Order: sequence, then structure tokens, then C-alpha cells
Amino acid sequence: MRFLKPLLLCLFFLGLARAAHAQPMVMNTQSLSFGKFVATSGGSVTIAPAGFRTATGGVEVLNANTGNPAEFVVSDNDPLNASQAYILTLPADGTVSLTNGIASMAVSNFTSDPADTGMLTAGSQTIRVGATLSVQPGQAPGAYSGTFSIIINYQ
Amino acid sequence: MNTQLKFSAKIVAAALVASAAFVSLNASAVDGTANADATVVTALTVVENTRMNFGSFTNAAGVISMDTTGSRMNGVPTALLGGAAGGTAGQVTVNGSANATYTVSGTGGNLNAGGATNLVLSNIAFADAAAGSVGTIGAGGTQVLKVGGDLDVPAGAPAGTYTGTYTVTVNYN
Repeated sequence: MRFLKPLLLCLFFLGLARAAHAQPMVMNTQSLSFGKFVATSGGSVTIAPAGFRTATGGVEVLNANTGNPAEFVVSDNDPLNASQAYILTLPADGTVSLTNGIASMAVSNFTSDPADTGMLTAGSQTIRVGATLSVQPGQAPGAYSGTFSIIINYQ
Repeated sequence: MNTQLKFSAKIVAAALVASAAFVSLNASAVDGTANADATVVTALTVVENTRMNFGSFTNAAGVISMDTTGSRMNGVPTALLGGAAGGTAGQVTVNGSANATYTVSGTGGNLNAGGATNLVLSNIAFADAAAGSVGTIGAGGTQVLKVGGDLDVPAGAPAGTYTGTYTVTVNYN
């Protein structure tokens, strides 16, 4: 038993060190909002990662509530990971929708800045995420909400 | 010996937990979840409740002003028949999203009695019928507006009933 104790202690601390090394934190600091609009004959509303909102079809956006991209902060306080490269995975089309009772609108074409891959700067990176909302003709008025997730993988 | 055995058992448990944490972090990525929202608002519509009516007047050249309370003022020498109360302000209902703000503007037009002479309607003005501020839909999804304007009467306009339209344009802010 005497030789087992130091060995297990080593394993224990090795495990802790490796766990800390492999763990970024992803904090959501701003929701994705498509703002207010009138549906009329339907179309789409797109929020770009930079924040610009555009509408297609019959959708008429209100200037009073312009919407905004989602914002995430990826951070890692381990100095070894200060410039860690990562891969960002955005939600696939068909997996996210906003609902209001029985009414819903699909959210697709997620885009981000930086796109796909990136590198932490001083252990941190802000990622802004936009998407396109599909609006049906005569879409029922009301407040729609939903959630989506992004995934960060260290390279 | 007994004490040492217990201690070792604890270490084994801790090592297992640490290894498990290490394995799971390596196997699954870290994710972040955000809320997303959108608000669909009711389209703005305007319905006329009461026709704007400048009443009766003589045909000397002048401008008749209908204010939003329905009171007429005349620019001499046109004479108003029936006095200040001889006309009616227009009234429209704006339907939209409760508590939303919007802009409203009016465009006048010509009033005609079938001949060549036009009475020109301009300076369309609005006031909230409930003395609130123009451009805010009420909690019930409507705002009632009184509508006034100026009517330019040319000298010697033939007697008759002149009719025409004005246009109300509303836009959400």
C-alpha cells in the first residue's frame, strides 16, 4: 500500500492540471434580438453579426427597436491557453425556432464574427452571432422567444 | 494500518473523480446558450369615422381653416354661413400595436363640384381626440385622431357641393 499513495496523489494532481487546461468558459453577454416588425405578406429578417438588420419580402421593420446580434465571451484564465485556437460550431438549420404559443418562426443561417475558427487573445474572445428569421404571411402578432447554443472546441 | 487504509481509499476516490472530470471535458465541448427574441406587431391601419366638412360659405376669395376641434375660421372676405360651428372636423381611427409610437402626416387635395373650379385643401393637421399626444397607440390598440385643414376658396367659385379626398399616412417609429 505504501507505493500506491504517492502514485494516486500524482494521478490526482495530474488530473486537476489537465482538467483546468482543457476548460474554456463561454458566457452569453447579450441575447439575439430581431427587434420589432410588421409581418404583412411575410419574408425574412436578418441580423448580421455586426448588428445590421435587413428585411426581405413584405416584412416592415420598426426603427424604434432594431434588434441586435447575440454576444458570447469565450475566456480561459490558464496562461498556457492565452492564445488557444478553437473551433466554433453554430446551430444547424432546422434546429432553432422562436415560439409564441402555437405560432413559431424558424431561425436559420447562423453567422458569426469571427467565423468558424478563431484564437483567444490574452485568454479571451468576443463572438457575435446573427441569423435569419423566417416570417410567414400574416404571422400572428406577439412576442416570440427561444434559445440556441454555440459550441467551442479547442483545437 | 487501519488509518492508512482509510486514507488510501479516499485518495483512490479522489483520483477516480479527477480522471472522470478530465475524460468528460476532453470528450465534450463547452457550449454557451443565448436567448433569442422577436416581436411581430400588428400592421397600422387608418379608418375614417367622420368626414371633414367645411360647411357653407360665400364665394369671395379667402381661406377657411378648420381646426381639429371642428371650429371654423375664415380669412376675409369669404363669409361663413352658420358661424364658427357650421362645419365638422374629420375623425379617423388609427389601429396598431398597443403603446407603439408612430408618425402621422396628411396630404390634401382638390375639392371639386364637377366643373373646372377646384377648392384646394392643404395643411392637414391632427390632434388626439382624447387630448393625448398624437402618435401613440393606446393600450387598447387604437388612437382616435381629429383632422383639420385649410380650404382655399377662389373668387367667384360656382355654387355647388365640392368633394375630394385627403390622404393620411402612418408609419411606426
